[in-house]
Amino acid sequence: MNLQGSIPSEIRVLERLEKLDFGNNALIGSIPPELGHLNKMKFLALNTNNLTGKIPEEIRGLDNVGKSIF
Amino acid sequence: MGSKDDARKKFRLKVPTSIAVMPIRTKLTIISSTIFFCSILFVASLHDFGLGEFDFWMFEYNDFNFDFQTNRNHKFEIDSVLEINEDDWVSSLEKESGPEELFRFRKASILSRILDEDISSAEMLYNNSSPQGKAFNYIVEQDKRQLHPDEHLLLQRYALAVLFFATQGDEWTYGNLHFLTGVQECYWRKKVHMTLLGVSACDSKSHVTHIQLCKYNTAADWKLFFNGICGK
Repeated sequence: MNLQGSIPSEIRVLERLEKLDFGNNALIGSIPPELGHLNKMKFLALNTNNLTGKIPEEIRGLDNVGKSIF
Repeated sequence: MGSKDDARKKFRLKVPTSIAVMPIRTKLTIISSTIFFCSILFVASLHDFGLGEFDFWMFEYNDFNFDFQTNRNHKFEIDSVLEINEDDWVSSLEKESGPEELFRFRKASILSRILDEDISSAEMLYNNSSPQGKAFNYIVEQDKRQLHPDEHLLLQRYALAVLFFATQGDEWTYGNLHFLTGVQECYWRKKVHMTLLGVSACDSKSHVTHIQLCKYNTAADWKLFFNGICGK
């Protein structure tokens, strides 16, 4: 898809988000901890990007995530 | 006579025996079924290249037709469109104070809503070259829907616009996937190689539930046709 730039923290507005797949792109920057506020998330894929930094603690707290790929 | 026989021999040599021996009825059946399957494949490939989605283009000319045609099985979505169209806040405010005042009022209301709910910082919003500033300008000025500042889905539309600008949507491999067009944001999507990219699903109240902006398979196009871009 050739996504460049970074993941905006505004994504936390999408509270009903269940699936977010940004896999295999050229995203840079860090994973916004705001992703951890999306309680309905079941599938989160950010693999194969150029993201830096640690996986935020908030994301680890997501209960519903059955599958996540980093 | 001799030359005719030679010609026949040459012809028979070129055609495989099994086909040459077949009765004419069988040959016709094979040819017609081949044409039939080829035409099916052709129509399927048209759809795969996005040509089957001409209903999105129709929207540009007629808002209501678009929503009526694609959502005829989803009454709630038609209702939500009518709600926006029939809203008379614009006309009432315009009568009272004029279009410029209305524009400023709407801009200020949207700005304060984004700031009050702590979605973006003022610094980013006031910066016209930041994704947040661009998305704010889009919602306020360019967006054909011109949502009411209190419309509950306004922030969702803003967030998706920020996502578009932050990830350089102009350079996405398969185009803008209808992002930033006048359709409701649940239709900011496009089917490419049997895969729905963009906002791939919403719930019954038009809240975004799935976003798919991936590309796992880098195989040849004909393989993508069967396997999808994001894998099965």
